Amino acid sequence: MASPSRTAGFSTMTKVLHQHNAANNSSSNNSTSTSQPETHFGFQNVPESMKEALVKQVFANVASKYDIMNDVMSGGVHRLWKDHFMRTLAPTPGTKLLDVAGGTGDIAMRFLDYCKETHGDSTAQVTVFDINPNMLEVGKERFTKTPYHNTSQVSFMEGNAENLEHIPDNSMDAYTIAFGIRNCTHVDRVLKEAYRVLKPGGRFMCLEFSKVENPVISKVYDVFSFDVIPTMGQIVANDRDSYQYLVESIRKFPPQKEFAKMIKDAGFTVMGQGYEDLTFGVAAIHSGFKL
Amino acid sequence: MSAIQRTLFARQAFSLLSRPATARLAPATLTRAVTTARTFTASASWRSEDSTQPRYLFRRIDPPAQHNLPHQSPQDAQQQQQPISASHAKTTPEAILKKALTFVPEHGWTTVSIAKAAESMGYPTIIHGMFPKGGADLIDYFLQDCLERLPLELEGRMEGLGTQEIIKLGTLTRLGMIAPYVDRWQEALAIMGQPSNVTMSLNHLARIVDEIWHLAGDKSADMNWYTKRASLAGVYTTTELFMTTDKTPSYQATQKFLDRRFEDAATVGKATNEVLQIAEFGAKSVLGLITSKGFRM
Repeated sequence: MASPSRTAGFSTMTKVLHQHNAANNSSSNNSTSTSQPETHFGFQNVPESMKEALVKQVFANVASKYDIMNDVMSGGVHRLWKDHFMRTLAPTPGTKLLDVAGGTGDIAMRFLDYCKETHGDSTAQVTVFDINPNMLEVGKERFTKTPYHNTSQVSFMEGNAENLEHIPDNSMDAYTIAFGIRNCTHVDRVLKEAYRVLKPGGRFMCLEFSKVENPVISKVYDVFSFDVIPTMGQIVANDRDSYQYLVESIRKFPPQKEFAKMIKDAGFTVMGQGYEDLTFGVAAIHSGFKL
Repeated sequence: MSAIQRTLFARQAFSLLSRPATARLAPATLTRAVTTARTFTASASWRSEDSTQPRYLFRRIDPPAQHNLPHQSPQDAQQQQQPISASHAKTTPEAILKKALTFVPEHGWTTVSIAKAAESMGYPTIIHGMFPKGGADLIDYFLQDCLERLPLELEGRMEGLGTQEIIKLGTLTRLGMIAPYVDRWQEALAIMGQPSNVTMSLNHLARIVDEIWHLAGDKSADMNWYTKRASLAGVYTTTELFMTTDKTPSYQATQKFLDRRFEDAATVGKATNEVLQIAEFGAKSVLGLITSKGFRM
Protein backbone atom coordinates (compact mmCIF):
# COMPACT_ATOMS: atom_id res chain seq x y z
CA MET A 1 0.00 0.00 0.00
CA ALA A 2 2.85 2.36 0.80
CA SER A 3 4.11 3.83 -2.40
CA PRO A 4 7.74 4.68 -1.74
CA SER A 5 8.16 8.40 -2.21
CA ARG A 6 10.88 9.25 0.21
CA THR A 7 12.30 12.48 1.39
CA ALA A 8 16.01 12.98 1.88
CA GLY A 9 15.59 12.90 5.66
CA PHE A 10 13.98 9.52 5.44
CA SER A 11 16.87 7.78 3.78
CA THR A 12 18.43 6.56 7.03
CA MET A 13 15.33 4.72 8.00
CA THR A 14 14.76 3.12 4.64
CA LYS A 15 18.41 2.18 4.38
CA VAL A 16 18.29 0.40 7.72
CA LEU A 17 15.15 -1.38 6.68
CA HIS A 18 16.60 -2.40 3.33
CA GLN A 19 19.66 -3.86 4.96
CA HIS A 20 17.47 -5.77 7.32
CA ASN A 21 15.18 -7.04 4.59
CA ALA A 22 18.15 -8.15 2.52
CA ALA A 23 19.56 -10.04 5.47
CA ASN A 24 16.18 -11.59 6.07
CA ASN A 25 15.77 -12.70 2.47
CA SER A 26 19.15 -14.32 2.30
CA SER A 27 18.42 -16.32 5.41
CA SER A 28 14.77 -16.97 4.65
CA ASN A 29 15.36 -20.71 4.20
CA ASN A 30 16.79 -20.90 7.65
CA SER A 31 14.56 -18.72 9.76
CA THR A 32 16.06 -19.81 13.06
CA SER A 33 19.43 -18.33 12.12
CA THR A 34 18.42 -14.89 13.41
CA SER A 35 19.60 -14.99 16.98
CA GLN A 36 17.94 -11.75 18.01
CA PRO A 37 14.29 -11.59 19.05
CA GLU A 38 12.12 -9.63 16.67
CA THR A 39 9.52 -6.98 17.31
CA HIS A 40 7.02 -5.16 15.17
CA PHE A 41 7.70 -1.90 13.42
CA GLY A 42 4.36 -1.08 11.91
CA PHE A 43 3.35 -4.24 10.05
CA GLN A 44 6.96 -5.31 9.48
CA ASN A 45 9.11 -7.34 11.80
CA VAL A 46 12.49 -5.98 12.74
CA PRO A 47 15.14 -7.05 15.25
CA GLU A 48 14.46 -5.51 18.65
CA SER A 49 17.67 -3.52 18.63
CA MET A 50 16.66 -1.79 15.44
CA LYS A 51 13.20 -0.53 16.39
CA GLU A 52 14.48 2.29 18.56
CA ALA A 53 16.54 3.78 15.74
CA LEU A 54 13.69 3.42 13.29
CA VAL A 55 11.18 5.11 15.58
CA LYS A 56 13.71 7.83 16.26
CA GLN A 57 13.96 8.43 12.55
CA VAL A 58 10.18 8.59 12.11
CA PHE A 59 9.85 11.28 14.73
CA ALA A 60 12.89 13.18 13.50
CA ASN A 61 11.07 13.35 10.18
CA VAL A 62 7.71 14.42 11.51
CA ALA A 63 8.83 16.67 14.40
CA SER A 64 8.47 20.05 12.68
CA LYS A 65 5.03 19.18 11.29
CA TYR A 66 3.92 17.02 14.21
CA ASP A 67 1.35 19.32 15.78
CA ILE A 68 -0.17 20.53 12.52
CA MET A 69 -0.40 16.96 11.26
CA ASN A 70 -2.21 15.92 14.43
CA ASP A 71 -4.76 18.64 13.77
CA VAL A 72 -5.18 17.69 10.13
CA MET A 73 -5.45 13.97 10.76
CA SER A 74 -7.81 14.09 13.73
CA GLY A 75 -9.78 17.17 12.74
CA GLY A 76 -8.62 18.76 15.98
CA VAL A 77 -10.09 15.98 18.11
CA HIS A 78 -6.68 15.16 19.61
CA ARG A 79 -6.92 18.49 21.44
CA LEU A 80 -10.20 17.42 23.04
CA TRP A 81 -8.67 14.10 24.03
CA LYS A 82 -5.70 15.83 25.60
CA ASP A 83 -7.91 18.33 27.43
CA HIS A 84 -10.02 15.48 28.77
CA PHE A 85 -6.86 13.62 29.70
CA MET A 86 -5.72 16.57 31.80
CA ARG A 87 -9.13 17.01 33.44
CA THR A 88 -9.09 13.32 34.34
CA LEU A 89 -5.65 13.66 35.88
CA ALA A 90 -6.91 16.79 37.70
CA PRO A 91 -3.50 17.73 39.12
CA THR A 92 -3.47 19.28 42.58
CA PRO A 93 -1.24 22.24 43.51
CA GLY A 94 2.47 21.39 43.59
CA THR A 95 2.14 18.19 41.56
CA LYS A 96 5.39 16.90 40.08
CA LEU A 97 4.75 15.41 36.67
CA LEU A 98 6.96 13.38 34.41
CA ASP A 99 5.62 13.61 30.88
CA VAL A 100 7.28 10.88 28.88
CA ALA A 101 7.33 11.03 25.09
CA GLY A 102 6.08 14.56 25.53
CA GLY A 103 8.59 16.24 23.21
CA THR A 104 6.44 18.93 21.68
CA GLY A 105 5.12 19.94 25.10
CA ASP A 106 1.44 19.43 24.36
CA ILE A 107 0.65 17.71 27.64
CA ALA A 108 3.15 19.72 29.68
CA MET A 109 1.58 22.99 28.56
CA ARG A 110 -1.92 21.76 29.40
CA PHE A 111 -0.69 20.56 32.78
CA LEU A 112 0.83 23.90 33.78
CA ASP A 113 -2.17 25.80 32.39
CA TYR A 114 -4.55 23.57 34.35
CA CYS A 115 -2.67 24.16 37.60
CA LYS A 116 -2.56 27.89 36.97
CA GLU A 117 -6.18 28.30 35.90
CA THR A 118 -7.79 25.89 38.35
CA HIS A 119 -5.69 26.43 41.47
CA GLY A 120 -3.77 29.63 40.71
CA ASP A 121 -0.79 27.43 41.40
CA SER A 122 2.70 28.14 40.13
CA THR A 123 4.53 25.47 42.08
CA ALA A 124 3.59 22.53 39.87
CA GLN A 125 6.54 21.10 37.96
CA VAL A 126 6.80 19.12 34.78
CA THR A 127 9.72 17.28 33.24
CA VAL A 128 9.29 16.82 29.52
CA PHE A 129 11.04 13.61 28.61
CA ASP A 130 11.63 12.39 25.08
CA ILE A 131 13.99 10.12 23.23
CA ASN A 132 14.04 12.46 20.28
CA PRO A 133 16.03 15.73 20.38
CA ASN A 134 14.10 17.05 17.36
CA MET A 135 10.80 16.70 19.16
CA LEU A 136 12.27 18.28 22.32
CA GLU A 137 13.46 21.24 20.26
CA VAL A 138 9.91 21.86 19.09
CA GLY A 139 8.75 21.78 22.72
CA LYS A 140 11.48 24.12 23.95
CA GLU A 141 10.66 26.51 21.16
CA ARG A 142 7.01 26.49 22.14
CA PHE A 143 7.75 27.20 25.81
CA THR A 144 9.94 30.23 25.01
CA LYS A 145 6.74 32.07 24.14
CA THR A 146 5.12 31.39 27.52
CA PRO A 147 5.61 32.73 31.06
CA TYR A 148 6.87 29.27 32.06
CA HIS A 149 10.03 29.81 30.03
CA ASN A 150 13.18 29.71 32.17
CA THR A 151 11.30 28.89 35.38
CA SER A 152 11.70 25.81 37.53
CA GLN A 153 8.22 24.74 36.41
CA VAL A 154 9.38 23.13 33.22
CA SER A 155 12.51 21.19 32.32
CA PHE A 156 13.49 19.02 29.37
CA MET A 157 15.29 15.72 29.43
CA GLU A 158 16.39 13.43 26.63
CA GLY A 159 16.33 9.69 27.17
CA ASN A 160 14.71 6.33 26.66
CA ALA A 161 11.43 5.60 28.46
CA GLU A 162 12.65 2.07 29.12
CA ASN A 163 15.47 3.40 31.23
CA LEU A 164 14.81 6.50 33.34
CA GLU A 165 18.19 6.21 35.05
CA HIS A 166 18.52 9.94 35.81
CA ILE A 167 15.22 10.05 37.63
CA PRO A 168 15.32 8.80 41.22
CA ASP A 169 12.92 6.22 42.69
CA ASN A 170 9.67 7.49 44.26
CA SER A 171 10.17 11.03 43.04
CA MET A 172 7.15 11.79 40.86
CA ASP A 173 3.48 12.40 41.73
CA ALA A 174 2.27 11.60 38.25
CA TYR A 175 3.59 9.99 35.09
CA THR A 176 1.89 10.66 31.78
CA ILE A 177 2.62 9.27 28.35
CA ALA A 178 0.43 10.43 25.46
CA PHE A 179 0.64 8.73 22.08
CA GLY A 180 4.11 7.47 22.92
CA ILE A 181 4.03 4.07 24.53
CA ARG A 182 3.17 2.14 21.36
CA ASN A 183 6.45 3.29 19.84
CA CYS A 184 8.50 1.75 22.62
CA THR A 185 10.18 -1.58 22.00
CA HIS A 186 9.47 -3.10 25.43
CA VAL A 187 6.21 -1.76 26.84
CA ASP A 188 6.64 -3.85 30.00
CA ARG A 189 9.98 -2.18 30.76
CA VAL A 190 8.43 1.24 30.27
CA LEU A 191 5.70 0.37 32.78
CA LYS A 192 8.24 -0.99 35.23
CA GLU A 193 10.25 2.22 35.08
CA ALA A 194 7.08 4.28 35.50
CA TYR A 195 6.29 2.27 38.62
CA ARG A 196 9.78 2.82 39.97
CA VAL A 197 9.90 6.61 39.62
CA LEU A 198 6.38 7.23 40.95
CA LYS A 199 5.88 7.99 44.62
CA PRO A 200 3.57 5.61 46.49
CA GLY A 201 0.11 7.00 45.74
CA GLY A 202 1.32 8.37 42.42
CA ARG A 203 -0.68 8.00 39.25
CA PHE A 204 0.30 6.52 35.91
CA MET A 205 -1.79 7.75 33.01
CA CYS A 206 -1.52 6.85 29.38
CA LEU A 207 -3.32 8.30 26.39
CA GLU A 208 -2.95 6.04 23.38
CA PHE A 209 -4.71 4.96 20.25
CA SER A 210 -6.70 1.86 20.89
CA LYS A 211 -9.12 -0.59 19.35
CA VAL A 212 -12.49 0.40 17.89
CA GLU A 213 -14.93 -2.40 18.76
CA ASN A 214 -17.95 -1.24 16.74
CA PRO A 215 -17.60 -3.05 13.37
CA VAL A 216 -19.16 -0.27 11.27
CA ILE A 217 -17.09 2.52 12.74
CA SER A 218 -14.07 0.26 12.68
CA LYS A 219 -14.45 -0.15 8.89
CA VAL A 220 -14.66 3.59 8.30
CA TYR A 221 -11.74 4.14 10.63
CA ASP A 222 -9.62 1.60 8.72
CA VAL A 223 -10.22 3.29 5.39
CA PHE A 224 -9.40 6.63 6.95
CA SER A 225 -6.22 5.31 8.58
CA PHE A 226 -4.74 3.39 5.71
CA ASP A 227 -5.84 5.47 2.73
CA VAL A 228 -6.40 9.00 3.95
CA ILE A 229 -3.73 9.54 6.58
CA PRO A 230 -0.65 8.43 4.58
CA THR A 231 -1.85 10.51 1.64
CA MET A 232 -2.33 13.52 3.85
CA GLY A 233 1.12 12.85 5.27
CA GLN A 234 2.48 13.04 1.79
CA ILE A 235 0.66 16.23 0.94
CA VAL A 236 1.16 18.16 4.17
CA ALA A 237 4.52 16.86 5.36
CA ASN A 238 5.85 15.34 2.14
CA ASP A 239 6.45 12.09 3.99
CA ARG A 240 4.20 9.10 3.38
CA ASP A 241 6.24 6.35 5.02
CA SER A 242 6.40 7.93 8.44
CA TYR A 243 2.62 8.28 8.56
CA GLN A 244 2.22 4.78 7.16
CA TYR A 245 4.25 3.60 10.15
CA LEU A 246 2.14 5.67 12.57
CA VAL A 247 -1.16 4.11 11.47
CA GLU A 248 0.31 0.61 11.34
CA SER A 249 1.79 0.90 14.80
CA ILE A 250 -1.67 1.79 16.12
CA ARG A 251 -3.00 -1.56 14.91
CA LYS A 252 -0.11 -3.45 16.47
CA PHE A 253 -0.64 -1.98 19.92
CA PRO A 254 -2.53 -4.28 22.34
CA PRO A 255 -6.27 -3.58 22.75
CA GLN A 256 -7.66 -1.89 25.88
CA LYS A 257 -8.14 -4.94 28.10
CA GLU A 258 -4.79 -6.47 27.29
CA PHE A 259 -2.96 -3.22 27.98
CA ALA A 260 -4.89 -2.75 31.24
CA LYS A 261 -3.66 -6.17 32.28
CA MET A 262 -0.08 -5.21 31.45
CA ILE A 263 -0.46 -2.17 33.71
CA LYS A 264 -1.76 -4.39 36.49
CA ASP A 265 1.09 -6.85 35.96
CA ALA A 266 3.57 -4.01 36.39
CA GLY A 267 2.25 -3.64 39.95
CA PHE A 268 -0.22 -0.81 39.54
CA THR A 269 -3.58 -0.77 41.29
CA VAL A 270 -6.27 -0.39 38.67
CA MET A 271 -9.75 0.88 39.51
CA GLY A 272 -12.68 -0.75 37.70
CA GLN A 273 -11.82 -1.82 34.17
CA GLY A 274 -8.82 0.51 34.24
CA TYR A 275 -9.46 2.48 31.08
CA GLU A 276 -11.84 4.89 29.41
CA ASP A 277 -12.59 4.84 25.69
CA LEU A 278 -12.54 8.10 23.75
CA THR A 279 -14.38 8.51 20.43
CA PHE A 280 -15.56 4.86 20.10
CA GLY A 281 -12.19 3.56 21.28
CA VAL A 282 -10.08 5.30 18.65
CA ALA A 283 -8.11 6.41 21.68
CA ALA A 284 -8.24 5.30 25.31
CA ILE A 285 -7.05 6.61 28.65
CA HIS A 286 -5.46 3.96 30.83
CA SER A 287 -4.80 4.66 34.45
CA GLY A 288 -3.05 2.95 37.36
CA PHE A 289 -1.98 3.88 40.86
CA LYS A 290 1.14 2.88 42.72
CA LEU A 291 0.12 1.88 46.23
CA MET B 1 -24.56 -9.99 47.71
CA SER B 2 -22.99 -10.13 44.31
CA ALA B 3 -23.44 -7.43 41.69
CA ILE B 4 -25.86 -9.62 39.75
CA GLN B 5 -27.94 -10.25 42.81
CA ARG B 6 -27.99 -6.54 43.52
CA THR B 7 -29.24 -5.78 40.05
CA LEU B 8 -31.90 -8.46 40.32
CA PHE B 9 -32.95 -7.09 43.64
CA ALA B 10 -33.20 -3.57 42.29
CA ARG B 11 -35.32 -4.85 39.40
CA GLN B 12 -37.61 -6.69 41.77
CA ALA B 13 -37.97 -3.61 43.93
CA PHE B 14 -38.84 -1.61 40.84
CA SER B 15 -41.35 -4.16 39.62
CA LEU B 16 -43.07 -3.87 42.98
CA LEU B 17 -43.65 -0.19 42.40
CA SER B 18 -44.92 -0.63 38.88
CA ARG B 19 -47.23 -3.57 39.62
CA PRO B 20 -50.78 -3.11 40.94
CA ALA B 21 -50.93 -3.94 44.62
CA THR B 22 -53.51 -6.66 44.07
CA ALA B 23 -51.39 -8.58 41.59
CA ARG B 24 -50.31 -11.98 42.81
CA LEU B 25 -47.30 -13.81 41.59
CA ALA B 26 -47.24 -17.47 40.75
CA PRO B 27 -45.69 -19.27 43.75
CA ALA B 28 -42.81 -20.64 41.69
CA THR B 29 -41.85 -17.19 40.42
CA LEU B 30 -42.06 -15.83 43.90
CA THR B 31 -39.81 -18.38 45.44
CA ARG B 32 -37.25 -17.80 42.76
CA ALA B 33 -37.45 -14.06 43.16
CA VAL B 34 -36.89 -14.33 46.87
CA THR B 35 -34.01 -16.72 46.67
CA THR B 36 -32.15 -14.64 44.13
CA ALA B 37 -32.27 -11.64 46.39
CA ARG B 38 -31.23 -13.53 49.48
CA THR B 39 -30.81 -17.16 50.28
CA PHE B 40 -33.45 -18.14 52.76
CA THR B 41 -33.46 -21.37 54.63
CA ALA B 42 -36.48 -23.19 53.42
CA SER B 43 -39.26 -23.34 55.96
CA ALA B 44 -42.67 -24.89 55.71
CA SER B 45 -44.00 -23.02 58.68
CA TRP B 46 -43.74 -19.44 57.48
CA ARG B 47 -47.46 -19.22 56.77
CA SER B 48 -48.54 -20.32 60.21
CA GLU B 49 -45.88 -18.10 61.77
CA ASP B 50 -47.34 -15.17 59.92
CA SER B 51 -50.86 -15.92 61.05
CA THR B 52 -49.84 -15.79 64.69
CA GLN B 53 -48.46 -12.29 64.20
CA PRO B 54 -50.64 -9.23 64.65
CA ARG B 55 -52.08 -8.02 61.39
CA TYR B 56 -50.02 -4.86 61.45
CA LEU B 57 -46.31 -4.86 60.91
CA PHE B 58 -45.11 -2.78 63.79
CA ARG B 59 -46.15 -2.44 67.38
CA ARG B 60 -45.07 0.19 69.78
CA ILE B 61 -42.29 -0.99 72.01
CA ASP B 62 -40.73 0.96 74.84
CA PRO B 63 -37.11 1.28 73.88
CA PRO B 64 -34.76 -0.60 76.18
CA ALA B 65 -31.76 1.34 77.40
CA GLN B 66 -29.38 -0.05 74.83
CA HIS B 67 -31.54 1.34 72.06
CA ASN B 68 -30.29 4.82 72.82
CA LEU B 69 -28.48 6.39 69.94
CA PRO B 70 -25.03 7.25 71.17
CA HIS B 71 -23.65 10.69 70.48
CA GLN B 72 -20.34 9.68 69.04
CA SER B 73 -17.52 11.59 67.52
CA PRO B 74 -16.23 10.17 64.23
CA GLN B 75 -12.97 9.31 65.97
CA ASP B 76 -14.87 7.22 68.52
CA ALA B 77 -16.74 5.56 65.72
CA GLN B 78 -13.52 4.84 63.91
CA GLN B 79 -11.96 3.33 67.00
CA GLN B 80 -14.98 1.17 67.55
CA GLN B 81 -14.93 0.11 63.94
CA GLN B 82 -11.29 -0.83 64.08
CA PRO B 83 -11.58 -4.49 65.06
CA ILE B 84 -14.77 -4.99 63.07
CA SER B 85 -13.88 -3.49 59.73
CA ALA B 86 -10.18 -4.30 59.78
CA SER B 87 -10.82 -7.08 57.33
CA HIS B 88 -12.79 -4.69 55.15
CA ALA B 89 -9.83 -2.31 54.82
CA LYS B 90 -7.30 -4.82 53.53
CA THR B 91 -6.89 -3.09 50.21
CA THR B 92 -5.59 0.42 50.19
CA PRO B 93 -8.27 2.17 48.10
CA GLU B 94 -10.72 1.33 50.88
CA ALA B 95 -8.23 2.30 53.56
CA ILE B 96 -8.05 5.77 52.02
CA LEU B 97 -11.84 6.12 52.06
CA LYS B 98 -11.95 4.83 55.63
CA LYS B 99 -9.48 7.49 56.64
CA ALA B 100 -11.39 10.08 54.61
CA LEU B 101 -14.44 9.51 56.83
CA THR B 102 -12.56 11.17 59.71
CA PHE B 103 -12.32 14.34 57.60
CA VAL B 104 -16.02 14.38 56.71
CA PRO B 105 -17.21 16.47 59.70
CA GLU B 106 -14.78 19.21 58.66
CA HIS B 107 -14.71 18.99 54.86
CA GLY B 108 -17.93 17.17 54.04
CA TRP B 109 -18.53 14.36 51.56
CA THR B 110 -16.07 15.80 49.09
CA THR B 111 -12.91 15.12 47.16
CA VAL B 112 -11.21 17.43 49.66
CA SER B 113 -11.83 14.90 52.45
CA ILE B 114 -10.31 12.17 50.27
CA ALA B 115 -7.32 14.32 49.37
CA LYS B 116 -6.77 15.23 53.04
CA ALA B 117 -6.91 11.55 53.99
CA ALA B 118 -4.39 10.66 51.29
CA GLU B 119 -2.12 13.44 52.50
CA SER B 120 -2.31 12.26 56.10
CA MET B 121 -1.34 8.77 54.92
CA GLY B 122 1.69 10.14 53.11
CA TYR B 123 0.27 9.87 49.61
CA PRO B 124 0.34 12.68 47.09
CA THR B 125 -3.09 14.28 46.68
CA ILE B 126 -3.14 13.35 42.99
CA ILE B 127 -4.42 9.98 44.21
CA HIS B 128 -7.91 11.53 44.48
CA GLY B 129 -8.26 10.46 40.82
CA MET B 130 -8.78 6.97 42.18
CA PHE B 131 -12.28 8.05 43.19
CA PRO B 132 -13.58 10.03 40.23
CA LYS B 133 -17.06 10.38 41.76
CA GLY B 134 -15.57 12.01 44.86
CA GLY B 135 -18.24 12.41 47.53
CA ALA B 136 -20.51 9.75 46.00
CA ASP B 137 -17.68 7.19 46.13
CA LEU B 138 -17.08 8.11 49.77
CA ILE B 139 -20.78 7.76 50.62
CA ASP B 140 -20.93 4.45 48.74
CA TYR B 141 -18.05 3.15 50.84
CA PHE B 142 -19.63 4.40 54.07
CA LEU B 143 -22.99 2.78 53.35
CA GLN B 144 -21.35 -0.49 52.38
CA ASP B 145 -19.32 -0.42 55.58
CA CYS B 146 -22.46 0.25 57.66
CA LEU B 147 -24.24 -2.65 56.01
CA GLU B 148 -21.42 -5.00 56.92
CA ARG B 149 -21.21 -3.69 60.48
CA LEU B 150 -24.92 -3.98 61.23
CA PRO B 151 -25.16 -7.74 61.85
CA LEU B 152 -21.93 -7.64 63.84
CA GLU B 153 -23.21 -4.86 66.08
CA LEU B 154 -26.48 -6.65 66.66
CA GLU B 155 -24.85 -9.97 67.39
CA GLY B 156 -25.97 -11.32 70.74
CA ARG B 157 -28.38 -8.42 71.31
CA MET B 158 -31.34 -9.95 69.57
CA GLU B 159 -31.91 -12.98 71.77
CA GLY B 160 -35.37 -13.18 73.25
CA LEU B 161 -36.65 -10.26 71.18
CA GLY B 162 -39.71 -10.52 68.99
CA THR B 163 -39.77 -9.63 65.31
CA GLN B 164 -40.97 -6.07 65.86
CA GLU B 165 -38.41 -5.48 68.58
CA ILE B 166 -35.61 -6.66 66.36
CA ILE B 167 -36.84 -4.48 63.51
CA LYS B 168 -36.83 -1.51 65.82
CA LEU B 169 -33.46 -2.33 67.32
CA GLY B 170 -32.02 -2.84 63.85
CA THR B 171 -33.40 0.44 62.57
CA LEU B 172 -32.12 2.36 65.58
CA THR B 173 -28.70 0.73 65.43
CA ARG B 174 -28.42 1.52 61.75
CA LEU B 175 -29.52 5.12 62.30
CA GLY B 176 -26.96 5.36 65.09
CA MET B 177 -24.19 4.75 62.56
CA ILE B 178 -25.01 8.08 60.95
CA ALA B 179 -24.73 9.91 64.27
CA PRO B 180 -21.01 10.79 63.93
CA TYR B 181 -21.75 12.48 60.59
CA VAL B 182 -25.21 13.81 61.35
CA ASP B 183 -24.26 17.44 60.70
CA ARG B 184 -23.10 16.43 57.22
CA TRP B 185 -25.83 13.95 56.48
CA GLN B 186 -28.14 16.38 54.66
CA GLU B 187 -25.24 17.03 52.33
CA ALA B 188 -24.87 13.29 51.82
CA LEU B 189 -28.60 12.95 51.08
CA ALA B 190 -28.36 15.76 48.53
CA ILE B 191 -25.47 13.98 46.79
CA MET B 192 -27.39 10.69 46.92
CA GLY B 193 -30.38 12.43 45.34
CA GLN B 194 -28.44 13.57 42.29
CA PRO B 195 -29.64 11.72 39.18
CA SER B 196 -26.34 9.98 38.54
CA ASN B 197 -26.28 8.61 42.10
CA VAL B 198 -29.92 7.60 42.51
CA THR B 199 -29.29 3.96 41.54
CA MET B 200 -26.56 3.67 44.13
CA SER B 201 -28.74 5.27 46.81
CA LEU B 202 -31.81 3.12 46.16
CA ASN B 203 -29.64 0.04 46.08
CA HIS B 204 -28.26 0.85 49.50
CA LEU B 205 -31.72 1.64 50.91
CA ALA B 206 -33.01 -1.69 49.61
CA ARG B 207 -30.11 -3.52 51.18
CA ILE B 208 -30.51 -1.76 54.53
CA VAL B 209 -34.17 -2.75 54.90
CA ASP B 210 -33.52 -6.21 53.52
CA GLU B 211 -30.72 -6.72 56.03
CA ILE B 212 -32.90 -5.60 58.95
CA TRP B 213 -35.80 -7.86 57.93
CA HIS B 214 -33.39 -10.70 57.38
CA LEU B 215 -31.92 -10.25 60.84
CA ALA B 216 -35.45 -10.27 62.22
CA GLY B 217 -35.77 -13.72 60.70
CA ASP B 218 -38.23 -12.78 57.96
CA LYS B 219 -38.98 -15.76 55.79
CA SER B 220 -41.97 -14.46 53.85
CA ALA B 221 -42.30 -15.54 50.25
CA ASP B 222 -45.33 -13.67 48.95
CA MET B 223 -46.29 -10.05 48.32
CA ASN B 224 -45.56 -9.53 52.00
CA TRP B 225 -41.88 -9.76 51.20
CA TYR B 226 -42.18 -6.57 49.19
CA THR B 227 -44.62 -4.66 51.37
CA LYS B 228 -42.61 -5.30 54.51
CA ARG B 229 -39.48 -3.94 52.90
CA ALA B 230 -41.15 -1.01 51.20
CA SER B 231 -42.86 -0.10 54.45
CA LEU B 232 -39.63 -0.22 56.44
CA ALA B 233 -37.88 1.74 53.68
CA GLY B 234 -40.44 4.50 54.14
CA VAL B 235 -40.05 4.51 57.92
CA TYR B 236 -36.28 4.44 57.64
CA THR B 237 -36.00 7.26 55.10
CA THR B 238 -38.33 9.62 56.93
CA THR B 239 -36.71 8.97 60.30
CA GLU B 240 -33.28 9.49 58.79
CA LEU B 241 -34.42 12.85 57.42
CA PHE B 242 -35.89 13.79 60.79
CA MET B 243 -32.65 12.83 62.51
CA THR B 244 -30.62 15.33 60.49
CA THR B 245 -32.57 18.16 62.15
CA ASP B 246 -32.73 16.62 65.61
CA LYS B 247 -30.73 18.50 68.23
CA THR B 248 -32.10 16.77 71.34
CA PRO B 249 -29.69 14.83 73.55
CA SER B 250 -29.34 11.15 72.62
CA TYR B 251 -31.67 11.87 69.69
CA GLN B 252 -34.72 11.44 71.92
CA ALA B 253 -36.90 13.28 69.40
CA THR B 254 -35.76 10.92 66.65
CA GLN B 255 -36.62 7.92 68.77
CA LYS B 256 -40.08 9.33 69.46
CA PHE B 257 -40.49 10.11 65.79
CA LEU B 258 -39.53 6.55 64.93
CA ASP B 259 -42.05 5.23 67.47
CA ARG B 260 -44.78 7.28 65.83
CA ARG B 261 -43.82 6.01 62.37
CA PHE B 262 -44.02 2.41 63.54
CA GLU B 263 -47.34 3.24 65.18
CA ASP B 264 -48.62 4.78 61.96
CA ALA B 265 -47.55 1.73 60.04
CA ALA B 266 -49.47 -0.39 62.52
CA THR B 267 -52.71 1.61 62.68
CA VAL B 268 -53.10 2.13 58.97
CA GLY B 269 -53.30 -1.62 58.76
CA LYS B 270 -53.40 -2.02 55.02
CA ALA B 271 -49.74 -2.03 54.32
CA THR B 272 -50.13 -1.16 50.69
CA ASN B 273 -51.93 2.13 51.36
CA GLU B 274 -49.48 3.14 53.94
CA VAL B 275 -46.56 2.28 51.71
CA LEU B 276 -47.83 4.75 49.14
CA GLN B 277 -48.36 7.45 51.74
CA ILE B 278 -44.96 7.04 53.27
CA ALA B 279 -43.30 6.76 49.91
CA GLU B 280 -45.02 9.96 48.86
CA PHE B 281 -44.02 11.69 52.07
CA GLY B 282 -40.48 10.40 51.69
CA ALA B 283 -40.25 11.53 48.07
CA LYS B 284 -41.64 14.96 48.95
CA SER B 285 -39.26 15.35 51.84
CA VAL B 286 -36.29 14.31 49.75
CA LEU B 287 -37.35 16.67 46.95
CA GLY B 288 -37.83 19.48 49.42
CA LEU B 289 -34.46 18.83 50.94
CA ILE B 290 -32.76 18.68 47.58
CA THR B 291 -34.32 21.91 46.37
CA SER B 292 -33.43 23.56 49.64
CA LYS B 293 -29.84 22.59 48.89
CA GLY B 294 -30.00 24.51 45.67
CA PHE B 295 -30.60 21.68 43.22
CA ARG B 296 -33.24 22.27 40.61
CA MET B 297 -35.58 19.47 39.72
